[in-house]
Amino acid sequence: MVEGRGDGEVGLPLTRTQEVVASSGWLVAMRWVAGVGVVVGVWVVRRTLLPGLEAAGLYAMGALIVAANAVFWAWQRRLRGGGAARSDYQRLTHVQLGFDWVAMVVLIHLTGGVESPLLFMFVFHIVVASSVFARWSALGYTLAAIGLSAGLAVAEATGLLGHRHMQGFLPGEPNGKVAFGVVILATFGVVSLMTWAVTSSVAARVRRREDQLATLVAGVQAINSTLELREVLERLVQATVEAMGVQGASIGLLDTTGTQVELAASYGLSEVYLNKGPVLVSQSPAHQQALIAGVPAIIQSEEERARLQYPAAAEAENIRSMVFVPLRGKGQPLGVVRAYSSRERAFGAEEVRFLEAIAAQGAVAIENAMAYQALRRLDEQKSKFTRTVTHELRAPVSGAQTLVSLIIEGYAGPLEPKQAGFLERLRRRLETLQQLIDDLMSLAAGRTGLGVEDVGRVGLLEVLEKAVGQVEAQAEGKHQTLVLERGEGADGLVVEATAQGLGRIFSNLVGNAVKYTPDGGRVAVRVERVGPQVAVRVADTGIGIPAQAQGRLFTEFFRAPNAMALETGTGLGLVIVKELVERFRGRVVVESREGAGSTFTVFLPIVDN
Amino acid sequence: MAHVLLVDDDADIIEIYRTVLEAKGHTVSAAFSGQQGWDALEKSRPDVLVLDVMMEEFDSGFRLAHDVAIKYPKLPILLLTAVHDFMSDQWSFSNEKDKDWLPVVRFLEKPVTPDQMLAAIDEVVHSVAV
Repeated sequence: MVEGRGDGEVGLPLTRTQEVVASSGWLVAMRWVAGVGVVVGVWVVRRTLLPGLEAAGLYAMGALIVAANAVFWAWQRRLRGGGAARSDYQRLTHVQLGFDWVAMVVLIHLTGGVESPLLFMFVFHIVVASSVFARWSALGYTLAAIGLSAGLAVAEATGLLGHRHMQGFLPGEPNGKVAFGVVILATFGVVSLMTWAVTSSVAARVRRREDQLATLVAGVQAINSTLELREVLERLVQATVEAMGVQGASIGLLDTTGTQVELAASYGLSEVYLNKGPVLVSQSPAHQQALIAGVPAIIQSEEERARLQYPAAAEAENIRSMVFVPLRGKGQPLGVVRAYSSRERAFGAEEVRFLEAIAAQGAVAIENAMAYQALRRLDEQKSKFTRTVTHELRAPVSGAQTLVSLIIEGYAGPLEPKQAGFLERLRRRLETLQQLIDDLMSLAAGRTGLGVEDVGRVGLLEVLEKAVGQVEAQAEGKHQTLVLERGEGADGLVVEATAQGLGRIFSNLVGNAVKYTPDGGRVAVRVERVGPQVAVRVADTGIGIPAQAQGRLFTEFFRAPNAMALETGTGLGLVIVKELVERFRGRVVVESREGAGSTFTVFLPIVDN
Repeated sequence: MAHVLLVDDDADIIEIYRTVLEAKGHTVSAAFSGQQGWDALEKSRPDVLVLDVMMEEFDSGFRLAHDVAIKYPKLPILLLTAVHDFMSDQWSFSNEKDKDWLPVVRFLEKPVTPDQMLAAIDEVVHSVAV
């Protein structure tokens, strides 16, 4: 997700906030040094070089700087406490620099006005302002520094303000104070402006790079956050426009025939321009260059516009320069990323490099989305196939079952006992076959994520009651005790599952328990809350599972030897149980001793109301 | 005794239930597709309709049940389903919830033994009579 973009900032606005925060922290730190430095410096200078220095005002200024800095420090601390916007930090920085400017002028005045060596300390302040603030704001500070210094000099020269000469500082009395003052001030002014120009342009460049980087980061995040191709591409072009400061951008994708470029996303371009007509690769040498040769095409002059299919439309849109960068997939061209500017010659090597990085992002997004779509299609086909196969397999088996029961139940005339016995075996075989088909299809559905309904809130007890109810008759036939025990907090438990899947888990487990427990045994299903989970224990006094078989219990078609000797089965029931339980973010645990019985415990996370 | 219309594209199944139902004195008509079922319905006016869900098309039975529900809202229907699991994904109605608009009295999951079929028919005939 791209966050906090409400203020129209590109990419990650936090970065610049941090820059200002960091620099305001840095300003405070430097000011401690400055405040203490003034006091210590004055003390040392008075002891050594200039015993005549009037120190009281300077000491006071040192103390004032420290005191003011304490206020800035507290202010900054409060902002860092949270909830502050970038503008809050900017305000703090402005106030600090305002104070510094005034403090500088006072210090300069106290140390000789235009003769003061501190004048050049201003250069350092200008560097700070130029790197923190936008270009014109920084120029304001620079001019203020020059203006205040010049104003101070004039005020002192005209006697408006008393000149405080540092006794014994200058090598000889200056030859005409005016000449000295003018030269010093002019030099100072030039140095200040040069400093501003260099620093602010470097800072602006760094900021632009930072924005571009942020755009790329946001692009990566966008790609990772959604598989909706259109959305990713829309974000990418918008971020491109904002980061590059261009008029518009668009992404065109090659159609399946490879002859036409279809618009996939655009930003900053008019409907008229977008609907100018189909872009045919054969008609546009610029597209050919990008798509076929794989080389970025830059168009920024009248003659170069002839390489477009719709030069008039570009002119009408006031597009003076544009660049097409190829979008390359694995091996083949997918399309182009295009940027448009209303300025002549807006695109240089740096811009092309940036667009190429954007194109690389777009290519990843497109390939991801295409892979995802292909998977979805495959998924649908598989789903249909599974359904058909299930029906085709199940129909003849169930037909055969019904036929057999027709004979067994005597509708086709009386049966010999021996015939009835064999038919009964046949019926059981068919039942197993049918169960096998169901289990296999259920596994296939689960593994492919097909036929899988969305999970929702399911009441656990109702499902358990049903599962127990299903085998009641069978348990009764075997004179077993079958109980459902509600432990602590069992009532009203809700889990995230599908009713069908949950039913399948427990009818499998309870069915197994009844099946593999001899006559007169006991099967107990117990539900209880265990912290944030619910534990359902299905315990029986059955034949148990041999220790060496327990490890393979959840493997397809595996059946423990003692179970195989006793009953028919598919060897898939527990595999399905495990898969379903894990799908519902739970786990299943088995404890068993051969001959003593088994306990299967299913843990599922509880959904709180 | 009731007049039962069996609609299933599996001739064996028709034959089985015809044998069973006639043995118990019911009258049986048969049809092998949704369309045939519709025609037979217009002609024979049965008391109960036994319908296979999956015939020539995946959901032919449901479609027929739906049409029948509109034209003959009082006619009880027994739906035979081979794969109830998948059905419920696409036609998410339950017996309780949708009885009002779709007169499906019962969903019977295949295989349906002769005894189960007889019991279901008896139950339907009984409840309609009451």
